[in-house]
Amino acid sequence: MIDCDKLRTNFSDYLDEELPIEQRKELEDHFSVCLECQETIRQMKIIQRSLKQLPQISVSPDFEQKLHQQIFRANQKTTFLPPPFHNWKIPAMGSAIVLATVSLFLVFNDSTEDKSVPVVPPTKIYSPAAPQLPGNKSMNISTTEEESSNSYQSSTLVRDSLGADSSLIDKSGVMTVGNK
Amino acid sequence: MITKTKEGKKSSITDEQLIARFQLGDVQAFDILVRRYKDQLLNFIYRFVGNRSDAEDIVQETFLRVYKNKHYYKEIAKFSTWVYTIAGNLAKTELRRRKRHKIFSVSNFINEERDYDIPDKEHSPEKKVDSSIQETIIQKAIEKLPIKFKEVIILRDIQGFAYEEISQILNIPLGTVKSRVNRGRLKLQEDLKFLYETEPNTRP
Repeated sequence: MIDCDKLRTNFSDYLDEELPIEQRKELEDHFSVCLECQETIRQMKIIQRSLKQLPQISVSPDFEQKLHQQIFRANQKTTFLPPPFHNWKIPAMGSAIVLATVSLFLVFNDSTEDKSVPVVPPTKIYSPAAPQLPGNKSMNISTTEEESSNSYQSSTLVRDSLGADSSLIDKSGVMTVGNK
Repeated sequence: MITKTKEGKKSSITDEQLIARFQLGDVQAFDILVRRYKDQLLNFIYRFVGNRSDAEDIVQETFLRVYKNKHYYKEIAKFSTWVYTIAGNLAKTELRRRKRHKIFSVSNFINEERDYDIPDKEHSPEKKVDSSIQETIIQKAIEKLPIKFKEVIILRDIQGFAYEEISQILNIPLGTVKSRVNRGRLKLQEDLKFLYETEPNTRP
């Protein structure tokens, strides 16, 4: 006995008239003996015809006008508003400017301090035993330490450092101490 | 007005020539494409989502995407394939969105205003009512189909596309298209058999 389910896989091709003659004949022979398949294919034909005859609808009269408005709005958005990828650039540029300003300030501030040492050589230097103090002093200390390592007037510095007063360094820095 | 798929393209200029002109900046070419496809796309989407207003919004969005992404079209495919792919994807997205939000468009369908003509002018007013009810039932049956069957049935049996083009629009193998059409048709027959059943003794 022929398997109905297996034959059903060819129903679509049968309806579309795309089935080879042998298979078509086999199906038609089956329809003549199987009322269920015969009824199924009959209904499928009607449904296919009904689908083709479904009423067609048309777009509303203002469809194109609405579309042009949408396109206009989309164009406006692209023209007048910054594109999404620009959004991160503005704050990034701002941050870069701020960072650059701060960096320049620090660099120039540092170099000013550097220049002061060779112009006016300090006569006194802080004692290594003196307490660490916050602020520019630390920079002055490091500068002085660097300079001291270069044997620049090392004997004077060592001698002066013996009489150095940490409170004087704190208030006026190395320059002031040296001038005194 | 009755608009039939694939009809009304009497102009000698092809869709592909029009999109090429549009890619070079000719906006009038875009307008011609809109006029050629607006109704057939509306019918495709309408059968898909079952709601006229949503269908029109999706068609609008389809053309907007064509406008904004014109340079993505390559001549290796037909313009119709490209535009139907865009529209079909938008329709599927809408159906998935509805599924998430549990919106059932079938219930909206009955109350929806329908301003189209019945194609068969020979129908009497009574028959017109009958065919209108029948159409509602068929539409519900289409909507009930799983998406993979629904899309091929609409493209093949309502819009009249060739299997090859459906395969390109949906980006699935030809054999899969044919198999899905067969299964979709059998499913529709199963769901609509009450409508067409005849008494056993009246069968030919």
